[in-house]
Amino acid sequence: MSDLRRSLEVKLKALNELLWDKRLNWPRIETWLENFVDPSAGEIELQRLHGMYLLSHFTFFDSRLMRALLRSLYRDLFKYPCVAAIRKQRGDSLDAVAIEADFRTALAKTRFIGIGNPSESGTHILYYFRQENRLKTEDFVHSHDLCTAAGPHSLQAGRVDTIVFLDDFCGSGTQAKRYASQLLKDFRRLGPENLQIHYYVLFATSKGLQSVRKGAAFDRVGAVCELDASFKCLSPRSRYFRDSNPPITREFAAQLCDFYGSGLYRQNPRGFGNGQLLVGFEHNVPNNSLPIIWSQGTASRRWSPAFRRFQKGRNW
Amino acid sequence: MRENTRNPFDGVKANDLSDRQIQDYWVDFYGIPGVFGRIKPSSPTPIVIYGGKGSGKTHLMRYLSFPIQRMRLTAEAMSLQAGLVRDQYLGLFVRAGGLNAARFSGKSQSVERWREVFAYHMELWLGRVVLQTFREVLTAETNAVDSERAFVRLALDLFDEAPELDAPTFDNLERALSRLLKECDLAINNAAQGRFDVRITVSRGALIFGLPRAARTVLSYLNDVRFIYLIDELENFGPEHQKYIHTLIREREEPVSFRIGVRLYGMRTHETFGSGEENRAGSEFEVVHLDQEIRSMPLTRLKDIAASLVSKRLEETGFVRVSPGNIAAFFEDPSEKELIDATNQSVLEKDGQRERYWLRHLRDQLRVGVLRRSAPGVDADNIESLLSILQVPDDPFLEKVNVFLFYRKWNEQIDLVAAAEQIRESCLEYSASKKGSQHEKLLRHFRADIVAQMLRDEKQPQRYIGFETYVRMAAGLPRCLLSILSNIYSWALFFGESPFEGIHRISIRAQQEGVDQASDWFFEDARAPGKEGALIRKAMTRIGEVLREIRFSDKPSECSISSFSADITTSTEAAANLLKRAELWSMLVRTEAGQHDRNTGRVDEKYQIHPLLAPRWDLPTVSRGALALSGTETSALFDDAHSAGFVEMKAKRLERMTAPSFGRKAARKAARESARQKRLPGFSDD
Repeated sequence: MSDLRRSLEVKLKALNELLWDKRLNWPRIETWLENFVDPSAGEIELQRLHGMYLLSHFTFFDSRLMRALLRSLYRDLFKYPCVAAIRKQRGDSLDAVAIEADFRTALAKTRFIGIGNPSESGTHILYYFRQENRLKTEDFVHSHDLCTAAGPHSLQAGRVDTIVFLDDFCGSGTQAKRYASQLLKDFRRLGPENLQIHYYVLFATSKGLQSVRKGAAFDRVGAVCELDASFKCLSPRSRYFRDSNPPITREFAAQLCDFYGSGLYRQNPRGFGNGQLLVGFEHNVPNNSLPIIWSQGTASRRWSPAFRRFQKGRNW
Repeated sequence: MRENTRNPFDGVKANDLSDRQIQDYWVDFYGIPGVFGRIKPSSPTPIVIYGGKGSGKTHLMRYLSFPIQRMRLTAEAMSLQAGLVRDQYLGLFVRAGGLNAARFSGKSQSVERWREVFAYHMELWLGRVVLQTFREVLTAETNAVDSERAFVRLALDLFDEAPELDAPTFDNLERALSRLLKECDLAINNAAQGRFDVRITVSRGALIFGLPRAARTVLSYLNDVRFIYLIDELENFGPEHQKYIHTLIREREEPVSFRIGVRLYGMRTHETFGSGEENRAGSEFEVVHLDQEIRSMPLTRLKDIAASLVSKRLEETGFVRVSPGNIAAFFEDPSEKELIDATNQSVLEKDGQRERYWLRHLRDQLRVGVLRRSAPGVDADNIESLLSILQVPDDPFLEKVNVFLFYRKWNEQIDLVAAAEQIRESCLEYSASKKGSQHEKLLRHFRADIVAQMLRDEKQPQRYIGFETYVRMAAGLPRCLLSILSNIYSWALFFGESPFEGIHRISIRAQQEGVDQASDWFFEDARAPGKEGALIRKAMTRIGEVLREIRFSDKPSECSISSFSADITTSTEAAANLLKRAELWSMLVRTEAGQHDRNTGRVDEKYQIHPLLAPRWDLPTVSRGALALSGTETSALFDDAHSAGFVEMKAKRLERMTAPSFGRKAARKAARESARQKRLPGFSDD
């Protein structure tokens, strides 16, 4: 066994034990590596070494980490800016009791809402978000609750002045923009003049955030973890190949991902929107990550994923 | 699979174990007479227990301490009184590391002042330990209240200036001692601020020796019970503080004695205060060298001890109870013959009938030999026929033996064609199981090395497999064994195996990976800190490389080489010192007997590379041969200032073991002549 292969094995073992929640032991990794069998993509051992190399940079967020990030989202993106605004209004006051009271008032007029359909991951995280931040169920609503003429969440009745959209992942920003476009218009029409609408997400690419900022009428957009261009694993600016040495090269890895990826996700061999990400979560792997990591293949070509993605069903 | 269960071999430091685990994991490696016979806690003679990192000192000392002593007596359904009378000792365990002794120096205060303050602090610290322990002993008594008052009054009499107590109770006395300690700590920590006001209220030794005496006065059944201070981690004390401990040992009073635990490198002085006399082993104290004593035990006994340790660990982690006798069966461990068969098989599958590496390598060397006129009987025309004589297409191992033997003949400068014929004859005899063949004699010594060379030629990892191998690799350091097993266990889980369950045998691959990782851990983590550690590691890398190159040379001078002797009488002082330090940090294991120099009869120090480091350089774990290093060579290897000579030293050594010249001057001369005569005089390449 080459030194490189051994060092990758050691790294994968450590990742499996410490960060991957023991989901990917060696037999599963081997099964995944056995996907790389086509000599047209290059020497088989070299393909597998590149596979191991890419996998060894895969970042997996288990439920413990996700919960910690949800606490961070609430604290850093919502609560602290809110408290900062209150202090400013009160002339940089340090009166903790008064600030706490004002924050409670602001929170009472805030509603959290998930991005997307109730069955999608954006809304899936709301349950854990509420638990981790000890919020009340009344703080969470469906979009139609806000649009009623009366009731505890009515925008028209002035019960709400801040709406916070929550999401787990923003890749290209397309989904957030699509989902919010009509809703935001309705909310603005029904709500008070000073209505604030925010969009907060756990993970977002810089490009995706930029796109949401430009293309949707949110007052504030933020992410707990912003993934800049260096997270695009196959790009020239990739952080993953800065210290790599032959035989591991970014060029070969890119060829490999394109070769197999095109058979797995034809339009997006490097992931949706050319994401090229190496990220996955407890509840799913975003389709912006490399398809060779998460795909189960097609009817004609089976593929054993390293970290499986649960695809949305299609009505055809 | 038990993926989510705790690794049974984690928790390798005795400091991290609970009292219950200290009791449960205990294995008495002393057998008969047992730890009590060896450490003799009831004996008045103090004992210094030396041991490398992970040798089990702390475990042993905590096992003798009062909390475990009481646990043991409870398990034996004995009353505390009966148990202490039987044991004849009461163990008072403290970790010197817990005192943060470094703060008792500097800060513009004189050495004498610090000496007084340190002694005072120790007095209060150890006094409180006696008090807390005796309190627990007394709780079991029926007339405890009267005894408590009597003890506290006696204790107060020991002070030069007794603390004032509302009533003579343990609580009040303990509070008073704690307050004095706190005041002392406050003054010490703020000594640099100018004012250093510590009022010393008790003389040196008054509490340390006096409180046990008071305990005896109050509880008469303690009259035959010795109070043993078990002071662990003495390496954390500087010379001045160790002097204090030696002074206590020298001034020891009844009914007290000491057992001192210290790393091999950790004893900085044997001096005492006052007259400045030194304590001497065999006179003021006895010595126990823990890892040496474990190493000197027969392998079968060590295996039994290790198996008991593993069995206890498994049981404690929730595995089905396994008898120690069955532990070894959990490891895939092919015999040498099976290993050779498997390697043969792998070579045949990989190479088929293709010429093997060792034949290709030999051909290249013969060609050079012909050119240099250093291959008797061989010319450019008969190289192929000579190689075909040595070939054994169906048995790669025998073919490798033939080649190995051929190099030895070549070194003798005999006719190599005739030699090859002899080798073929011997090979046939050996295959027919006839006694006395050259092959048989060679394999008696070099079998393991030939297998190792074959694995290396085939780019396969060296084999460090089987429970017995791991016991040997631990070399007297139980923590090393636990580290090996812990790594093997986690690799086995990663490979989807079910280690120590049912009839599953841990794969060779998991064992290999685990051992490699444990070896890395030992080299990286279990080392001296700072510059000294870096120097030791560099020197170890140099000697490791030399031994590896010798083992895998054409004609190794020694079999199973992982040892060397060093002439430190002519080496530099720095080299001799570093050798000693490498031994004290357990990177090298010194052989008691040393090695006689073949020429002068001088007895040189002999060392083995710690067997857990063997995988780093593909060395054997069993040492047979030893490389005899001259003073100059020792300096090149172990003195960084002389390391420029290392490359030349290594080259010279290996030259003697490498075809075609085997280090012969004549051969080199011929080579030079041959090079000169490539062209006819007066002719150029054109």
